[in-house]
Amino acid sequence: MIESIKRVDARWWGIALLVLLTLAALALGYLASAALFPTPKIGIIHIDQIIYSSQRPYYTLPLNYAAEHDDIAAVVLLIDSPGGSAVTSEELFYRISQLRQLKPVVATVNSMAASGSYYAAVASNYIYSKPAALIGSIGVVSGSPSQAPPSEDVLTTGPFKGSGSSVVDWVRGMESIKEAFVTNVYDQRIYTLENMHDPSRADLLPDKDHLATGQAWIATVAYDIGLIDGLGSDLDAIQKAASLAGVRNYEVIDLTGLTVYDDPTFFTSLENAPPDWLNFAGLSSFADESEGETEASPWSSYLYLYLPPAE
Amino acid sequence: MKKIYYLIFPAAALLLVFLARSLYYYSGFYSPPDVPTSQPERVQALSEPLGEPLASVEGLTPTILVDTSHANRFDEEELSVLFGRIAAAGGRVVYHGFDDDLRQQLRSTGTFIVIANDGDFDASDMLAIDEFVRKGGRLLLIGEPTRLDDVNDLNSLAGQYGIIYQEDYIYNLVENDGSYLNVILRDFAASDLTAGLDEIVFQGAHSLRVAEGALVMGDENTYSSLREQPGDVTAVALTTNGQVLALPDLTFLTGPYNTFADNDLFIDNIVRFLLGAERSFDLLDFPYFFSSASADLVYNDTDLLDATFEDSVRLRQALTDIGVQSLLTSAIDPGRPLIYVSLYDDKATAAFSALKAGGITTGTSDLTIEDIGDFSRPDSALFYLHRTDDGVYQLYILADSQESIADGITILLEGRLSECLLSPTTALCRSAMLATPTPTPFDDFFPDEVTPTPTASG
Repeated sequence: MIESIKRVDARWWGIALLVLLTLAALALGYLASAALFPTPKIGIIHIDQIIYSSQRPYYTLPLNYAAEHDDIAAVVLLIDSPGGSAVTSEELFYRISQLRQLKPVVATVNSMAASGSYYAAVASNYIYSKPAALIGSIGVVSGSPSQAPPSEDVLTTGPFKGSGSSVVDWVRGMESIKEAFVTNVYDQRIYTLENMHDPSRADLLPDKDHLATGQAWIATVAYDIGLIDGLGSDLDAIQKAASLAGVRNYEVIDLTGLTVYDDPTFFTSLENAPPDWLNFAGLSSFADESEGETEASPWSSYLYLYLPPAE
Repeated sequence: MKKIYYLIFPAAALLLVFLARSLYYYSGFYSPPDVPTSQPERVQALSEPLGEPLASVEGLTPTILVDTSHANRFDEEELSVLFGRIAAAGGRVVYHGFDDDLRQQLRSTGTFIVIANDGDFDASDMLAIDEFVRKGGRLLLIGEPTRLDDVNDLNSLAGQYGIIYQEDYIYNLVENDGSYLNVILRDFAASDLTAGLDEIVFQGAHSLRVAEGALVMGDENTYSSLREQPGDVTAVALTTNGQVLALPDLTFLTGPYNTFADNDLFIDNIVRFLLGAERSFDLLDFPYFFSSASADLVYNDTDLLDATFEDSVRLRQALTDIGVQSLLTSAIDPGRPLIYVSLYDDKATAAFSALKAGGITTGTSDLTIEDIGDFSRPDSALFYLHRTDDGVYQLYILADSQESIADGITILLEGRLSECLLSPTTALCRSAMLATPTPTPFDDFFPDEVTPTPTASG
């Protein structure tokens, strides 16, 4: 009898121990899987300013964060910019291309993805836009370098030391940069359309000479000629990014707010909303505010910038 | 219970959690697409500027008038290439300023240049230019789309000669010289202006509209910014019997753009055009119809020369002022440029022939001018400008008395011949004219009236 009771007790003790071990395994699994499979996040990065060289960290900090954190499963670029500095736009293009190697990047255009900001957009996997946005304006603008007259106050060792370049070479340099810009945009779009979307849409893309006119197209037209991939909202872009990354039940995190302002909710305030470029007539004054300006040559750098029609 | 269960159940639970979480959050994997890398070699290499400096040209007619009084959008220093060529060819550049009399300046001018004017020409100026062109003067119009807000003022003049500047710029995205605005042009109509040209390059140019006279045209890839269809772009035009040349661009005339392609050769051809005017003159153009190095001042009566010696000196000074050396003689050389001064009754046979060619015959107390009428001789001085078959100009001044000769020369040198002009080559001036003051250009605007005295109250 006593032996029988002992066997039953041992069995129950065994079951109890098994339950305890299983529960412990579940708890351990929960903790371990949270580390191994963190809650995926869609990171939002804002490209919503004139792209000043001096503000490069505004763009590179969130891009770096997205690349370095595995929980960022995909990135959505909220683009609303007329472009700006050529070199910073090129930096954005190359960084986004690198990020695309790690995780999907989807761009969504609010009112404008023009010139340098469109350059950034073409590095992404997919481009959405609002139908009334402006897309394109692929090209370069620049002032003409002034020839510094001989001076008794400032001594230079060569005729172009004071101005950087002859006017002719400056113009030719600008044309060379434009060629690189147009070629990169064309190659990216052709590859994206042929390999990542419906290949038949690749035939829609205009030739490089047409792209090089510097025209800004309304997004509906831009879609028809293959410059963007879809018309839709920011939410569409987020869902597309999640789909490309293969994630669901994800969180959305504002990487620009987090890394630049240390506040992921920074952009939820209306006070911090970007300007409406379509109604912003002061873009031309950017030339006067651009970096590296001198009295002799107010536009001393090349710009990938949309210039609005004169009033 | 088997011991293995203590391993299987927890392990299964562990896996279940992992599986559940991964299925909860993930539905697939991201396979990154390739990123096309930049291929710098695919960026078109740009050629060096084309062209090389060319020798200067020989000049024909020296004076070229350049307008600076109509808000012209250029600096004189910019045109050192063009003006240097003109100077090297023996030409002389004179500027028309705001206070200058255009009609008077055009009298000594072979070619008038108007560059990117942003101010319009008034009716008086337009008439003077039209008269200048009708006399064979040449007109060069230059547009510049990068400097003109509109082409209305330029067209106010160009339109008179069948040329309309379009408010546009031309460009070529397919083939250009470093920039889409640097348009290469190879389609030339046959002309001295296009002789020897293979290609020229404009840096930001208008297109032109002309019914005829298109000289340089764009190709099938040359667009006007006004139209989205290529072709039919005229860049340079020559109209009005080859006297009015319209250029669409100023920049190609300036350094270093003059060295591009055949621009230098084109500039040489333009300089030949500028210096090649063969214009006619009338009496009012005195003394500019004397364009040779020297002219004769002929007095066949020493008493008359003695009595009007001071006037003869003033005549010689007028010639000297324009670079013409005067040679005082007493006989007419029919083939020489000259000023002949004589009393009616003493005129030489050669003078008689010249006057007869002009339809002028003199009687004892009157003179007859063919197709105009009969006039009394006393107290008058006759001026007749004779052009020989060789194109040499001879001015005949005749009067009834030494006093009338002196008065006539005074009227001539004061530039008042227009007050007694009977035809472009004939004037009959009464001595009484000198008693009246010279009318001023403002007489029409300020008729005789009492000007109110300003008061302190304003």
